[in-house]
Amino acid sequence: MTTIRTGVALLAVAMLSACDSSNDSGPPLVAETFRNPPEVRSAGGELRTLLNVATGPVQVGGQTVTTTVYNGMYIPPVLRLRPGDTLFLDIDNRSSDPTNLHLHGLNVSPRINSDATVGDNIFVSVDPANRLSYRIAIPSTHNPGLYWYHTHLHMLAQRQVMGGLSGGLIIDGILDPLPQLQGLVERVMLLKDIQVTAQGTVPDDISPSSPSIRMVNGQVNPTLSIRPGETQFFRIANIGSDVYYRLRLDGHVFHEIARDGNRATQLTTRQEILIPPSSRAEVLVQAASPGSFALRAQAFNTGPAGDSYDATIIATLIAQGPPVTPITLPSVLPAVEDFRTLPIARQRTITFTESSDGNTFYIDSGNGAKQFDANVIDSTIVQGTVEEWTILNATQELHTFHIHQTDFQVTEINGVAQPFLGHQDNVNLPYQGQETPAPGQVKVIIDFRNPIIVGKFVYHCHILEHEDGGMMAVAEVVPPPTLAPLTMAGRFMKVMNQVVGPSDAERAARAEETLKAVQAGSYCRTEPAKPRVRVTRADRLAQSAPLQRPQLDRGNEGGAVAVR
Amino acid sequence: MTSPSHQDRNDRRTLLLAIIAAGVVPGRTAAAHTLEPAPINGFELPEPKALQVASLHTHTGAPFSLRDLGGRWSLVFFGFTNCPDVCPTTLADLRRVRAAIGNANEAVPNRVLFVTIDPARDTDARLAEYVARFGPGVTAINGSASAIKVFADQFRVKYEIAANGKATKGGYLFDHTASVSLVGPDARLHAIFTLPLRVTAVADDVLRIHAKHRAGICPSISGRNETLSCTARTV
Repeated sequence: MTTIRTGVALLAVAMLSACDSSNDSGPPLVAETFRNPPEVRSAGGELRTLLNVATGPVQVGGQTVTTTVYNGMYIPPVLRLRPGDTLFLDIDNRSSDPTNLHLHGLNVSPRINSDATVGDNIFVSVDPANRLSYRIAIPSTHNPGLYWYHTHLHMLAQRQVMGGLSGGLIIDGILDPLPQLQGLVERVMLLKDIQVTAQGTVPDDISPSSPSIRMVNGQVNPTLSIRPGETQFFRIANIGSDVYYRLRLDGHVFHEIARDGNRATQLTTRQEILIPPSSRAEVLVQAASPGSFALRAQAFNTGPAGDSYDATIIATLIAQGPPVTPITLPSVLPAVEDFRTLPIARQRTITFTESSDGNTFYIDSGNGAKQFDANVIDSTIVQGTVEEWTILNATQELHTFHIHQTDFQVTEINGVAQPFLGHQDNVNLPYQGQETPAPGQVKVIIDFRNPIIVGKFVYHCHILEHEDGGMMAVAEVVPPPTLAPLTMAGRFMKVMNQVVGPSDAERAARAEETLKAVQAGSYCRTEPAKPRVRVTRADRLAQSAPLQRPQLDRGNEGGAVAVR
Repeated sequence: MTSPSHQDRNDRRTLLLAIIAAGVVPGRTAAAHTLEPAPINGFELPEPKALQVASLHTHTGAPFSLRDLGGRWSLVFFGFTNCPDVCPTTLADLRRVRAAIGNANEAVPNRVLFVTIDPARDTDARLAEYVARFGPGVTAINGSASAIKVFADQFRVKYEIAANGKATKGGYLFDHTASVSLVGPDARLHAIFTLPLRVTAVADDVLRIHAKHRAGICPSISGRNETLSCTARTV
């Protein structure tokens, strides 16, 4: 299926090239098919919106797929806000499965608010036929950039995200300090892939290596128009469930200006950019001479025990029309704090492991390898501190490390010191044997100083097959002993809310919704996790030499969650 | 989505909005936007929720009414005596929470209520033996399956026999909501503590909520006690 689509795309590109040379007096402009996603924008300091979660037929990649999406759209609206805004978002779950929401990359509170709205809390669960109100206060100091939102319900996340429950989120202002970059054409490019069964549904048991339709904003190989010499701002997010994208744009380079919603210390010119699941790269592209240029997702393999993705063209850039004089790209970007200058309060070692059959996944946070258990705190961190984590990948496939509510700085990969380019919330973990016989190693410095992130949240592999399989752990940021639990200003605002906020009936209804979601999120099941049958992967492992996995041969490899 | 209605605002709200608009309160008009998250791992209800009790009794056989539910702070956990881990672990933690509360303030009466979700197997005698393992101050609540369900529904607690439970040695297990509910002396639901329980933090939260309750819910502002919407309730 993928091969056919790629072929059709290449044919289209060839036809476009033919058009370019058909008229010496100036070829007719090729119509652009690329569309930015729909968006909703904040006004007056707030954005109020509703996401209906429902299952139904949607058009995806040229075919009808019955799947669960937001607001009937495979690509739901981009939520566009500014620092200091408040997002009021309701989830209305009309599907047959529970769901919830995560604001990926935002440095916001993970708690439940004192008005019974919910912050960026993934421990709640919105059951079918229920509704939940989120209120996300975005600090005025928040980094502008590209973020995203998605369902985060453990054991359902992979299928729900692949099926469509993810969208973009932008905090405006990332180019504001750079006058020469004002007015650029902005391309929001949300990379998303879907696997479709013969029945027109998303498979119940997804194997990431199976053929999938890889799209930009739900479009297969759309064309983007650019004038020769023109600079455009590509904001690329991988909002799919499992797939890595290693992107190359024929005849061009990427000038990366931000990663994961964090403006970099400098513009970095790259021939290709690696965008692991959940990662975002914001780049400047300056068009070359007229012509058609494929934006390629190159073939990618995540390791001997991992998955393989064929090469494909995900979009085509058409440089056409009157040329413009290229702008001078900024050589200096605003300074970014170097976490290496901060005192390290604590060092930890976090190890990603998996079972010998490659189907059950663990994180060892220093107390043994374990699967995700929402009722166990794996790492307790004192707010106000900065920590250095050494993250080990003791498996033979790639993983991605992501932590909620904050950002980190990568300082070392496999023992090699990394240049300081900025902060991120996601990093690829090289696998054991990829470069050295030892486990893959990434050192990061994580910022836990922000007082609003006090509370419980998670860190995990963002290949959602692995997260659903158990590769997730709980962090709790606790206030330092001297911090008052609620400031006088907070108490005052609480009273004001009682006075000027919603009516008693509305408050009571909202509290009841949140009570249901909190209790649903506390529901403990005894049944084992669904077995993950991945024949091709098992076959590969069976053919490879036995691996050294000293802590994996435990009694719970069947994938059982804690028995209650 | 939920959109605040202005029709049912009372005059007091209107007055205060006018004060805000006049610049007495700096910042945007939407004062609620800067609300801080509740300082709790779990959910503190903005307004305590009224509960009903019917046809329940304690492990001693004594009737358990709404009046019995009130009168002190109750840390309520729904479980079953055949529960292999989360029930005994949580009850052990709650014993330590009670000790921490007592150490901080002996004048905060409290107890643990263990509500069985398995009345078919959890007899009063079995419950009496079970709760005795977790020290004094633990009362088991029993009743018919339907009466317990009506009580649990108010907490939004769910449970059902686990699909694979019949294969276990003890007969069957339950899938169930595993959190701790805080019911006040007013017999209202004040908060939900999610697991794992941090003993000191939970004790601190109980003491804080107790102080708030004693003060008539509203905090002190600028050195004087506001009484707006304060509704100190007792049963």
